[in-house]
This record gives sequence, structure tokens and C-alpha cells, in this order.
Amino acid sequence: MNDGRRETLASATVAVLLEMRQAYLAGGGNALKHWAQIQDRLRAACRTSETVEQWLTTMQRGLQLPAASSSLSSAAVALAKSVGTDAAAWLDMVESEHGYIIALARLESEERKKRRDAARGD
Amino acid sequence: MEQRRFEFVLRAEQPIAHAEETLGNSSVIMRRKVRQPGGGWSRVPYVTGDTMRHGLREAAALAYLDAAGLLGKQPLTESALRLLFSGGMMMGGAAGGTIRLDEYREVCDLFPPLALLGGCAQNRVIQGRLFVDDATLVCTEQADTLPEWVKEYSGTLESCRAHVEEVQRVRMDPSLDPGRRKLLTAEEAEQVERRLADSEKAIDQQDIDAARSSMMPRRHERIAQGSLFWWSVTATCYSELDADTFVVMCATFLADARVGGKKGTGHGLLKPVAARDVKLLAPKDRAEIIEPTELGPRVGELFRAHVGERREKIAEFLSAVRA
Repeated sequence: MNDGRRETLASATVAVLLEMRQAYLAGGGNALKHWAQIQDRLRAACRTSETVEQWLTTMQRGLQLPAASSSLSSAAVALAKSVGTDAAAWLDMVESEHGYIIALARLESEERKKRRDAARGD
Repeated sequence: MEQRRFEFVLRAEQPIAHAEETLGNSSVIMRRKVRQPGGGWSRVPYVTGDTMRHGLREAAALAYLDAAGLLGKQPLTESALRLLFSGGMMMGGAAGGTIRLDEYREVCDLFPPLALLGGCAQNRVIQGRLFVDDATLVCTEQADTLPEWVKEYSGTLESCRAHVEEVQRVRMDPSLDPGRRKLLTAEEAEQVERRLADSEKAIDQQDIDAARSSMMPRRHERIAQGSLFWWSVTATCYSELDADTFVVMCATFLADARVGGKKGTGHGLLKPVAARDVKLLAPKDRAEIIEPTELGPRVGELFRAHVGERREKIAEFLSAVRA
């Protein structure tokens, strides 16, 4: 997998994780420990899923999320399209680089918060 | 001298929980890195050769003690137990350092599996003559490394990920059961009631840590029931006794092969379902799973006769061995 493809898949994965994070927190998930929870479930889902669809379902189940919201649905379908037939390679990548994927997700969520706060200030 | 090799397809009659590490309260199964054709790497579950070899060693030890008439009848010294069940260890100190050649021959004569498995006796490391492979999961990621006959037997291969499931168990706290609390002494019952009352108050005050239940949920990965493994074991035999000992070891192990953890709760049982160079009998004949006519002398006959004839010397040896 070349760097460009890797980056595309990482971004699509992060988009899904952020939507799941939002659903998890909205459902009463522990705000102090949610990143650790998401990371644990991410690893477990990578090890036990064969396809993007299974991975999404396992993540939803592991985080005890309700039915997908419209934004999570969009991100999920976009991820499945990006991955295409490279599910095995994508799963290997996410499992072996899960620390980095979570770090990207966390940074992105902080950036979004800064933008929202800035917009409110305006 | 000859090299005898047995290859088996083993089926997981129960799920296999062969753990590599624990992350938090989740246990993760053993995986090894495998290069994929065309590049890239996968981490594929497997059962280690160490586990399989230890199974052979344990089976050989029990067969040996049984043949010597010592099973359950005479307690072993700690050294003898170590020698039989884990190969012994270097004792160091004033143990003598090296073993003389005639002493080595006598040790192998009195304990034939040692010549094949190797170990450490009389403070000398004895080289083994057994090559025990990992039990390789039959899956697409390993397709390139599996023999053709195994692939033909196994049918459609799936990704290794399809073979792994994660399950949760909970250790129930018996003190949460009012019926069980009636078994406590008055003092203990009061302590428990007080703790439960504090936990209820903590829930009202939304103090999550103080309100935490004493039940212990934990998760573990396991290889699903029905998964197939390819396994091979090779021995270099210098005598008919070596060959018979090798077959006894394999037959005894495979009659009830259990690997990994959680054996007490429905995990670990492997059953041979196909083999090369050895014919397996039906489960009702499992006591002698090797077809006798295929191998010349009846399986175990030489081994049992050899060990039986030496039972008194063996008893002395096991009481005095330093391992």
C-alpha cells in the first residue's frame, strides 16, 4: 500500500471513529476513558473482522452504540467505498498502526472543537 | 537410523484459548507474523511448537510411569517430577558438572523418552531428536505454507480473522447473592452488608468509582470451534525402541490433546481428523490409535516391555536422579 492510499484510508477511518465517538459520548459513555475504550474496541474489531462491514458492526456492538446516525452512516459508507477490495490490507494497517490512528482521531477532534469555539466567539 | 515424520490435520473440538498477552482485562491469542505472497505481512493465530512439544512430553511421562507400574503408586521426588514433565534443569553447584557416557546411556535406557525429547539429567544437557512444529491454522494467509493434501482435505479456506471470536465472561461475586450471604459469620455478613450499602449510596451520589460492582467481567479471544490446524512431528530414531517410543508418545498425546488455557471451562481439545504416514482408528479404539499392522511390532509393545523389565531400577533411578 503506497503512502497516498494509506493516508486516504487513515482519514476515512478517522472520520468513522469520530462519528462513533460522538455517538458513544451522546449515549452516556465515560468521557474520561472513552479514547481508551475506542482503542480497545478498535483492536478487537480488527482482529475478529474480515470486512469493513463486519468491522463497523463489531465496533458498534463493542461500544454499545445505537443504530447509526445519518453522519455516521455517510462516514461508514465512504470508508467501505475507499477500502474497496483491500479489506485485509486495511485491517492489517489499522491493527498495526492503531496508536497512530487514534492519535490522528484525537487531534482532529481537538481541531474541530477549536473551530467550533472560534465560530461561537465570532 | 531413520527419520519418521507424522503429519496431522487437527480439528478444534473445543475453542482454543492460547493467549499471548493480556491488555487490561482482555486476553489476546498467540499470533505470529507471516509474510504474504506478493508482499505485506499478516499476524496469524497458531498454537506454539512449545505447547505441542510439552504435550508430547507429558503424555510420554504418563505412559512411562504407567508402563513401569508406578502411576499413582509411588510418589516421585521433585527432581524426578521435573525430569519427566519438563525435561529437568541444570542443578549447578557440587552436582558434578558432566555425565559420563555410560551414565548417559543408562539414563536413556531407563527413561527412553529422554533420548527423543532431550532434557537435563545428572546436570548434563541431553540433546533431543524430536522436531515439533507449530500447529498452523488452516487459513488463506497460510495457504502458501500448507501441504497440498491438507488444502484438499480442508476445502474452502477463509481468512484467519474468520476463525477468531472474542467472548466475555464474568466472575460473579458470591457476596452479591443474598442466599450466599446467609452462609457468612455474623461479623462477615455485617461487613458485606455495610459495603453494599455504601455502594448504593455512591450510586445515589453518582460516585462511579465507589459504586463499582465487585463482579469481574473479562474478555478473551479464542480460535473458534471446528477450526483446523496442520501439525507435524519428526523424530530421528536409532532403534526400534526409539520408533516405538515415538509412536507411543504421539498416540498418547493425540488421544486427549489439550492445548492453551481455560481447559477447565470447555477450551483446548484438539482431535486428529486426518494424517499422513499413520492410519488413525475410530474414537472407540483411541487407546491404540495407530493401526498395528502398519508399523510391525504392536504399538507400545516394545516400549512397555522395555520399561516393565526395568521397573525396579527405574524406581531407584527416579528416587535418586538430580534434574
